[in-house]
Amino acid sequence: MTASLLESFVSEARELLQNAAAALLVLEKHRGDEAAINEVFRSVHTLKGSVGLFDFPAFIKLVHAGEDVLSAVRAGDLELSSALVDTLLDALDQVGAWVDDIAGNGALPAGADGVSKDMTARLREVLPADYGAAQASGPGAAAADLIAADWLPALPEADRLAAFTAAMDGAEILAVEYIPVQDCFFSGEDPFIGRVPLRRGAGAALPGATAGFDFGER
Amino acid sequence: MSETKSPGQNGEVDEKRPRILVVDDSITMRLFYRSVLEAAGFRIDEAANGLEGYERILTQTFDLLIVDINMPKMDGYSMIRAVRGDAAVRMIPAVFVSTEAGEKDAALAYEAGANFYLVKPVAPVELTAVARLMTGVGAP
Repeated sequence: MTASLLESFVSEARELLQNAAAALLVLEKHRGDEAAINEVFRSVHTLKGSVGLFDFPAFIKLVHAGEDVLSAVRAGDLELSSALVDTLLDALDQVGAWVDDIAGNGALPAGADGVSKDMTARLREVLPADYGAAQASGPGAAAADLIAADWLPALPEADRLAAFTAAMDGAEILAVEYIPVQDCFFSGEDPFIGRVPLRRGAGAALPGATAGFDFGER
Repeated sequence: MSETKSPGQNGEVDEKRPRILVVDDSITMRLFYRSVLEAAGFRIDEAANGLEGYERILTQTFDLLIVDINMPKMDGYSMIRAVRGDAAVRMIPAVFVSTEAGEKDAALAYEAGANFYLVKPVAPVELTAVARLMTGVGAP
């Protein structure tokens, strides 16, 4: 993506975050304010759409979780408590800090994945059980998880598209990393012609030294 | 927001290139569409919401609409329903682009009058291919 696209994203993201925070503060005082909940939802939703243009998986996951919570609030399936407003404001602050990082050096800081995981868990734990399950399953969620996967950008574009299309069709997408050991040919493997006996289910426990290859599902 | 004209051969403005109206409340998404589709040879106009988009359609001629769903003032569903209900413009093909990958969301879009449904983030190659398909322009 071009530098001007990233500059546009930074500028727009700051505006959307300001709008979302202001609308959340209105909601804290006036819980049923429909215009305010629509404003905060649309701001976060728009942010989720535009950040998808870039390779910031930690950012996407946190914004997605925030959108799911706001969607539940908007649908009347979740009460917006003061504690939840605080959690959402914390998430917006974190995203705002990441936007500053992106503006400064074009990347998220080290540790962003861990921070995103913790904050996403905090947001998702308040979702009603059945609502959370409905949101976290299905081809849409599978495709969203795929988009956020850290290994996806390493693939050629045609492969990324094929994986996304398959995820949309409900297929389970597994990333397999294969690192051949020096004597792999003696155990029936030939990586040059793609003959590698994948042993499904062995996963990360598979010892590379004895099996001839080392792969793990991610 | 203005139409982009680029010189064709002999320095003349090529008005034969298909003209696409991009309707999205995200300025970043509009910039993305413009950069990808102009590079593929299309002329691009922009609108920031469904109402603005519909007003543009009534006064200008377009070969394709690329429309977001969740927008202020008028959402994508309402805008395309209005287009499909207007005999003067109802035949303009429309591609919906949404962050929602669910079957239900796509079904709603098609019921509203979409001809194609794409899920964000859209790969440039896919966006270009769909724009060419919808406007009848072959690959170069």
